[in-house]
Amino acid sequence: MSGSGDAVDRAGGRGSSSTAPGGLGASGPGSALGRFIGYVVRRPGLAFGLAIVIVLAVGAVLAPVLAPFPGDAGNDTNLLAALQPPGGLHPLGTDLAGRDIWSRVLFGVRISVGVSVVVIVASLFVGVPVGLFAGAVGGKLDDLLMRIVDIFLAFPSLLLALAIAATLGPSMEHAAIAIVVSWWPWYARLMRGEAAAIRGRAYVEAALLLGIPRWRVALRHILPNAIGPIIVQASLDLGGVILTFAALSFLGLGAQDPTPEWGLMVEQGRTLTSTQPWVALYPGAAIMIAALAFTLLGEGLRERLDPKGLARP
Amino acid sequence: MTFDEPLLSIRDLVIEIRGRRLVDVAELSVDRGQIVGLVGESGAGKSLLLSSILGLLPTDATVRGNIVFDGLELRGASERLLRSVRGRRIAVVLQAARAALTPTLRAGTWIERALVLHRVPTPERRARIAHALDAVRLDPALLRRYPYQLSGGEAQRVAIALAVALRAELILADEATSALDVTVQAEVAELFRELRETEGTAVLVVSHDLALVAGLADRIDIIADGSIVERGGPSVLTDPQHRVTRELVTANPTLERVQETAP
Amino acid sequence: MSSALEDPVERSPSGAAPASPQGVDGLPDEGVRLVARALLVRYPGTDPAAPAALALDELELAPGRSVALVGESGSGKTTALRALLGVVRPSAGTVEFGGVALERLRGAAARAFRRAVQPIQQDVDGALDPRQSIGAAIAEGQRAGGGAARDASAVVERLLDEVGLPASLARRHPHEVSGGQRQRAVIARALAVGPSLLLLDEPTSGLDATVQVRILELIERLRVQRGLGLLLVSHNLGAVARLCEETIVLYRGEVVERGRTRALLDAPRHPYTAALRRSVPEIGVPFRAPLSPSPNAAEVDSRAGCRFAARCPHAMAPACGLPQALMPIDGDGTRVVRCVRAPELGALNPLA
Repeated sequence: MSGSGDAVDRAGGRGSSSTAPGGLGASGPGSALGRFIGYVVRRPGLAFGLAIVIVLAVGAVLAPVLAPFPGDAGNDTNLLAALQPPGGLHPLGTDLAGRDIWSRVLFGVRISVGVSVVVIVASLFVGVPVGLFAGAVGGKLDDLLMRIVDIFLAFPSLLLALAIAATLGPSMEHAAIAIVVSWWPWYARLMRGEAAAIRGRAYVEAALLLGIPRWRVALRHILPNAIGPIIVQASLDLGGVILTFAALSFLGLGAQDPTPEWGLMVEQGRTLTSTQPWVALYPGAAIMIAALAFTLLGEGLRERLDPKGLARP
Repeated sequence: MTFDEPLLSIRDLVIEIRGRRLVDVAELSVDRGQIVGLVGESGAGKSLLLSSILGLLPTDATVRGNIVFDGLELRGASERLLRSVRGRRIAVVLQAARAALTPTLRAGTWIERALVLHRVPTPERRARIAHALDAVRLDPALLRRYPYQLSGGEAQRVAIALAVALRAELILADEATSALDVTVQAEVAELFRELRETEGTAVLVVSHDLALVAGLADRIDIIADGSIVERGGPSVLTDPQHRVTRELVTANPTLERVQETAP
Repeated sequence: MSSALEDPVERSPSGAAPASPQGVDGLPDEGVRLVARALLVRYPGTDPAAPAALALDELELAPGRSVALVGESGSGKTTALRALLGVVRPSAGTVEFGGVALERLRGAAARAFRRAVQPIQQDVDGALDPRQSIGAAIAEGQRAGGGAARDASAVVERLLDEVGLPASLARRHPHEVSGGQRQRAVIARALAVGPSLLLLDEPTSGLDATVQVRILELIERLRVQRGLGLLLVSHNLGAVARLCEETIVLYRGEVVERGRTRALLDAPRHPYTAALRRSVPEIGVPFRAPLSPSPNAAEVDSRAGCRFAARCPHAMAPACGLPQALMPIDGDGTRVVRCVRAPELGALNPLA
């Protein structure tokens, strides 16, 4: 039951540098790192996700060192040791070509996560400028651009990705392109919404009335204020892209043998699930864990950056 | 429950949130039919004080002291008791008048529903509403409108009409006129004065507008940093004693004084 | 912001610093003149037969002049200010800067307009980019005014001082400072571009009373020290009386009275001006109940005639139901009133 400016708002110019309630962060005692740790610890989901992501990062970087059989991630085969169950030399067993699954899963991090990051970044590179432009300018140009975006959005993303990968021929690069083509419109739409909302704010108008050209106002004032929900969505999408990419590889439209891509590895173990389940199980688990970790991380970011929950669930 | 005692009596009220003491009022009372003004700047604690009367403080706030309304202790009272008082005996009029009304109901429906909620018997309702409209000088045609179709002043009148229909004995007006045009503000202020005569309604006016309260209230309490620093009739403003009161008075750009410096 | 605003600013091909003087040191150009004539604004989608949102016969702003637009919600005063800024496109009439219509300004002339005429917006909380420090915001103004990047911090420091803010505030963000400090920062940013005219839209609304006074003091000081021209849009008669020589009173989109501020407030000739003056509460002055509309008020045709008739204590049919024109009154040539009964009513004592 509060009145007009009943938030703490004291007279200016009285000498006291009083502050109004801050924006996002809790300003408590302790260092920034301490607060960060406290923040994470209170949220088990975020903590778990962050931990896994760190493990993945370590795995990606140190794969050549940690993998007992780095060559198995490449062209090495060892048919004599094919389909060994987990244990001994091969903690996760070997696949049809005798390759160490643990080593391949380890190297797979680079591929799955690496490609996903590239795909997301590329999608942002296309979607954000389109959305920013449409949202900042408004009017008929905005309508036109959004109709184009709508056309892209109308295609079910996996089918579109399938069609493109099938047309261009199966390869990791083509699969990545396919995903980007179906992914960028979401960012365009999200960005356009944010930009359009911010366009009407007083500080944007003030900047324009100072004589600053529209493009510079868009970059300096609209973009930084609009990007929050997009960042959240992008981090959530990392998990989704890992899954989509694995799905395309599973279908044979993405990575090709001997690339240790997890989806491909699952496919290779697909017919063996009843007799040698480890061939598909461990790469499958890796997909799930990685996707989960990024999703949890994204949710944690969302709470911080996008409290209104504008990003797509 | 005699009529000599004040209608509302606040004693030793202390409100703390997370270790910070935000309100510390030794005594504040409102008599029946009295208009009391509570004036202070933002952050002085006036809204917190109002919220505490009806038990509407944030959950992490601690309250100590007594809030006695017509012999009933409201501080720490049960939800049931508070609900029987809220709206019906103590009415609230807020700054954002339109926001206080339910947007999907016509104004008339809103009043009706509130009367039903407070168990006003069916035969009485119509009479009460008619009387309230008359007292508030509200055109009955406005009752058919939705809140978005009402101006700020009209919405404010609807809220006050409800208070009259419920026969509230005390109206808590929290910056009730701050968002209104000055001519409309004068009309609402006049309305409070009239209600005092015709209905005997007491009003506790919370405002940062000193001059408004000066013309309206029988007694003015100046609040700063959670405590009442000065109190008195309108002379409090023409002859302020406390530093804060004096600052508030000099800050008031009255037209008479300002004319001297005008170009 | 309406997309009616065509971006009138285009960069000159060379991108070089223009010839106009840098922000803070620039003195107002004597030739700066912003004139609105026969201005009519209708909002898109409204009934053409209904009264316009704003009808303003004439308004001229120049350095040294201070004009107030007074009125309540729906009076059109903010519309007028936005039309003068070129943010709202008039349905009829012209707004000219230096003799050129706003929509025809291009290149250097357009830039000169933006630098010469600066608004102080009503939304104190939203007027600053939350992600930009106050120093950066002011510096942005300085650069927009043609200043060099190397001079930015010195200029920022000087402007902070001029508006009464401590230099340490430059590093702070808007949500970290109080409302009054934010308003001062907004003013500093506007000054950084070197304007000759300031258009203020309710500059003190939402601020505590003591803060309001300080802000008004600041504006007055700046006006005198920099020789600025002012347009003050406000319903706060105290602010108006303090800052403006001339006052234009608007009611429902029409000018109802206009003249020298002191005379107008002391002895209003239009019943609405009197009602306005009367409604302003004053310490030490007994409460003045608003006057009721006259018994005949309901019979007057306010669509064709006086729009205030329904609330006017002096309304009379049929005279007030006829179209009312702005007529000069009081002989000194500066006062006009739109009220057919004004001559016989005489000076309306608002305090009675």
